[in-house]
Amino acid sequence: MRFTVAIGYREIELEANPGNPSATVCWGSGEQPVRLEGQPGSKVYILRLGEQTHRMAIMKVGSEYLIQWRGHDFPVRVERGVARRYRALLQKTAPRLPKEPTAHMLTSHMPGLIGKLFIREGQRIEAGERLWVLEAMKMENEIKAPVPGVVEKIHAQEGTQVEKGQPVCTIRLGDLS
Amino acid sequence: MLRKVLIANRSEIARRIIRACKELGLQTVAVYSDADRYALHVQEANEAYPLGLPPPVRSYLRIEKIIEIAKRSGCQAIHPGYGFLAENPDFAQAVEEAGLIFVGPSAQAIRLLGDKLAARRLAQSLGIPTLPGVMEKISDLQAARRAAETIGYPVLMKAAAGGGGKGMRVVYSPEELSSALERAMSEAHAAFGDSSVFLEKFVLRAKHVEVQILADNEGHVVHLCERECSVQRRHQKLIEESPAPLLTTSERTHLCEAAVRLACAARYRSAGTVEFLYDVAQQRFYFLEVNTRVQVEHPVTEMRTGIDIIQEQLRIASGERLSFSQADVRPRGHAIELRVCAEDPQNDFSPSLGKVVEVHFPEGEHIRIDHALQRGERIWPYYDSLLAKLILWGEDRQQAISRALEALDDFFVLGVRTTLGFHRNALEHPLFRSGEYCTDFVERERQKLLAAPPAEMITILAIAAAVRELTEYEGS
Repeated sequence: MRFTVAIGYREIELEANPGNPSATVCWGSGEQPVRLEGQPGSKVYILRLGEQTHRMAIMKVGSEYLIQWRGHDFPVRVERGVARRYRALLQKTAPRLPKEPTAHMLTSHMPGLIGKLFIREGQRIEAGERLWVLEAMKMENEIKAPVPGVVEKIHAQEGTQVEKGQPVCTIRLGDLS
Repeated sequence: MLRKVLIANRSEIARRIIRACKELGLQTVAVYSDADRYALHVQEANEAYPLGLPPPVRSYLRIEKIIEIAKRSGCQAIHPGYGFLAENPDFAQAVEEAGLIFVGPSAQAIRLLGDKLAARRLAQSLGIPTLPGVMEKISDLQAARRAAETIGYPVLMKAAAGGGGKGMRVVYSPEELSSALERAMSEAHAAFGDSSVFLEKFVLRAKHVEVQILADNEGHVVHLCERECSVQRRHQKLIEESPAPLLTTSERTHLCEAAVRLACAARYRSAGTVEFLYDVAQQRFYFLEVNTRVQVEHPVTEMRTGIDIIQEQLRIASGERLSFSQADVRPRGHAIELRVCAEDPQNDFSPSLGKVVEVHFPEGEHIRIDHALQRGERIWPYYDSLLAKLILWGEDRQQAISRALEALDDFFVLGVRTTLGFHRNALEHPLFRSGEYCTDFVERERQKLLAAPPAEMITILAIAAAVRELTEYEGS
């Protein structure tokens, strides 16, 4: 599952997937087993990331988290992947869509440059397949497909600047034959 | 002999005194303002009585009410803690006149040493150096100008009647003198009802070193070594340690002996602290003042000497002699205290009010935490911002610092802003590590001391948040 985490002015994209005994987290070029251990009723956790351990307190405040770590307080906003934004968009623009949406329009989650586009129109893609690289704040974020389907339309070409919420491509779901 | 003691204070120091009483088999009576009805000190005392509304003048400063409760509940003594009435000679006198024991020095000693100029004259008469200054109260510009010229700029202007940083001004040049005097006098008047000030030489690179003393009724005085408290912000101490780093053995002996001499001359009784200023450039010590109470940072000394200062105060108050001599005082290792305050360092250390949603303390053999914090605790604007004192002991300074850093990583207070992060940065700062820090440390190194962890650490936070969100998602 993809997450976009905003801490102060920084935004970090990563993927965290459940697993037993440890979940896995992928970010940038790394992939590591991760566990967040806590006692019931306590907000203090131990984050086990690969070989490292970090103690921190995590508290939910409204739709944000407040993480206290090494004596500092960090307000942290977490958004679930790209799909969530798309759901919100669908609800706004097409309230009477059938239960199963037939197309996903993917928008940019933050302003930036489409540094690299890995897809072309008509291409079949799997969920999790990389779609483009968004360059922002000297960081490169790989954007991956939230759903499987066929690239129906590309709205923003390689090398173009996009705004937050600007459509980048549309993926058609359904009959993939 | 004491059987029952009223504790005229709140928060961690009230709990600390209750603990000492219990260990001596004494009954305890707590008092509380309406804001502290559910406070830990109220729960832990044998009895508790309300004082009134939250503002201190309506509660913890009510001399007659407190003495009346002490008599009504059958106490023989009142322990004032620190702050509030602790250094008020009128209170000490009223307690004694009511036939009760004041756990502290005599009203005369508090009065003598509370007058900064009188205390200085006493020190000078004993051959203890004081800062170049003019030993008279000043209340007009002409006198101030003459005094400043005699001393030489920069000069420090201080309220004659009290401390706590009120009425204090550094004056670098004659042009600044007039407005500084005006503001200092008005502050001093508001705080102490006495607008007079005095001037002394301002030392640019200074360390604050103080000596803990204990004295019984028969004139036996011992010192429990020194503490360094140069990490300050607006004259409020933030970190204290013992021994003072960089002090030579002969300097240490010299200071401690001077403190004992002064206490003897003032016919001092109970626990007290003699404060000195160390001029780094001149390598000289100067007497500053005496604090006639137990201090916030007393645990630093307790951790090194194994002597329970509050218990000693209670023993002395009940008429016992000191049970040990100077030779029996054998300090070991190094101790550091970090004051964890409900303050927002990012916002000029302004008080952070609110409710403590979660609190988690580090644990360990060499960790001591004096606090009065519980989940749901409200932080009020009426009182001191001190939440907890984290005290660490180590075989040496290096070990004490490492233990402090480790403890800080496992110390959490959610709901209000605290100085926890500041402390972490301070302990890692090269100037603190080398022991060369001076009283201007916090001001000068502001940026570094307030910095958040470096950017690469942000990824770890992001991972934690994402995994936490994943758990939430799976659970829903």
